[in-house]
Amino acid sequence: MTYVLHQLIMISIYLILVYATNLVTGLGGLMTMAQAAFYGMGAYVYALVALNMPVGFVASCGISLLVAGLVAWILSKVVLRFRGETFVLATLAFQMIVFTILDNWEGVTGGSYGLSEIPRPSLFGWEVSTVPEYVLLSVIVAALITGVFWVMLNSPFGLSVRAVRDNERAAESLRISPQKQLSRAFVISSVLASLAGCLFASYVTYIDPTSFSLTESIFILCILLVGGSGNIIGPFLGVLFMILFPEGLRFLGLPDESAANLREIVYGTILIVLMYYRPNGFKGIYSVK
Amino acid sequence: MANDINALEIQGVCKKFGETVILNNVQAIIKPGMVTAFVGPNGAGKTTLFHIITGNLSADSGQILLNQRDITNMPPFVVADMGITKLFQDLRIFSDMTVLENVLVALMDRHERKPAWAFDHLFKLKSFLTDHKKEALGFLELVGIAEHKDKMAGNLSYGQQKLLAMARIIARRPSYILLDEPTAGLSPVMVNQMVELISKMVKEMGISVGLIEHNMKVVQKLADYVYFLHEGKVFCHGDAKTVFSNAEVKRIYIGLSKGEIK
Repeated sequence: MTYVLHQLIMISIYLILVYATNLVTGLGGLMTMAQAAFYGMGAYVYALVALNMPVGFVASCGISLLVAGLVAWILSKVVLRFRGETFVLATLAFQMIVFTILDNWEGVTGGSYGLSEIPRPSLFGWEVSTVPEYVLLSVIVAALITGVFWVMLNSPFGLSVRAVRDNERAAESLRISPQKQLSRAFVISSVLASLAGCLFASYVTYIDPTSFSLTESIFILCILLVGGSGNIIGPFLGVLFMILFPEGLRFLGLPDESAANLREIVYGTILIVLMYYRPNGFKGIYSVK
Repeated sequence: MANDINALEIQGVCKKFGETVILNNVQAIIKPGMVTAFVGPNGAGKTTLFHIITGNLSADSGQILLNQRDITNMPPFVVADMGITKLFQDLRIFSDMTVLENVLVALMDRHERKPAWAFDHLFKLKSFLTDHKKEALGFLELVGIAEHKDKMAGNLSYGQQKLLAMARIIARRPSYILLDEPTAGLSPVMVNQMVELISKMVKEMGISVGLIEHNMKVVQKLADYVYFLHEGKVFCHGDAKTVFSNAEVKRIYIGLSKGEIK
């Protein structure tokens, strides 16, 4: 039972991460490789504040989001000078920098040993200590973020970011500032990613840099692309598939000594097949008219 | 004539690209509520002139006056804010958005595009969107592509994309629209549709139009005043009849354009 509940929490956290990525990649058309960096930054800042300052869960999260937002805003000034592959490389570089800092700044981040005994959240007197309670919290937050994404998708903001993605010069002639709109999307996306980091850190209570590596960034992007970007159902389907499917393979009854490797092979093959038949992700199923 | 208070005036504009003279002391006026056509052989400088008016190119000398205000060499977005828009030859539609969304995005104000705006107006958002969709649909009906509103704009035919670009421009409620070959590449049926649309814009919506056009039938149907440009100079001007009955114009334009491939 705890296993199922654990999966529910991870689904909620990844849902937030993927909606965050959807803002930049789905609406803005820019593939960001720095999502795990902000995810990790959120987790570490939350952990450091919660471990060293008795300010409570909400304030610790608040500080963490603020730091991520600030860093993202400064970073956006640099990376948004680029588009396409160059943007991918620029965000990738940032991802590497953050990972290296988390992995090596032993005095603060604990280096590769990470941080442990991170306090569980307590919200307005509600001590979130058991797993079912944590499920409730993370599902509520994920539902809230889904709502936030839905509003942004349908708002003039979402519309203008998509316009920038489609044709920047045309957007400019309609008095949309591409830099401003993309930078807003980038900052909001990073803040949401750091919120996912706060949830993750407070749930597992022990974090180390390996959870926030480049592989994680690619995994998040994969979920989005498998599910279908630029809409609200895609990320949901993507998260369900990418989290539950590899877990489901555990019950296949593969021989123990090669199970882990075989699982990866089956998983990879299915991903390739899927991309071949559904290049736009699962969402394509619903857009057939 | 130069003393008209409300008009878009071009006064002595010159432009050189390197050693090549493109525009040489061009004097013209786009009067309100009228269609002013610019005709002439290819390379006469018509498109360059429009680019200078919209601020996409700078003039070497001379002035562009809007209602007697000097707007020469201002950045394109400032000129656009003053109500002068241009139909780009490359159309610049948003191909991965629906036809309706293409117009919708033109209707949103700058402050409404801030992310926080949607959350400030959360409970009004739905009615805000329905109102704007209705308005956008009105513009699509005006240009005659309302039945394609839910199609992806990139899937429309070239002619329909041109009409969509027109709808998007009209949605910005400009006072002057500069049209660079609006009927180029359109089927005869579409040409008629475009002509009707332009005269509707002028007569019913009070928009003033500057027109570059090679189709003489269209010019004769629409233009209230014609400037004939040749080698960067205004060769002659007047109403369509006067200009096209000029023997020199016939020789330069009708004679020349036969052999040319456009």
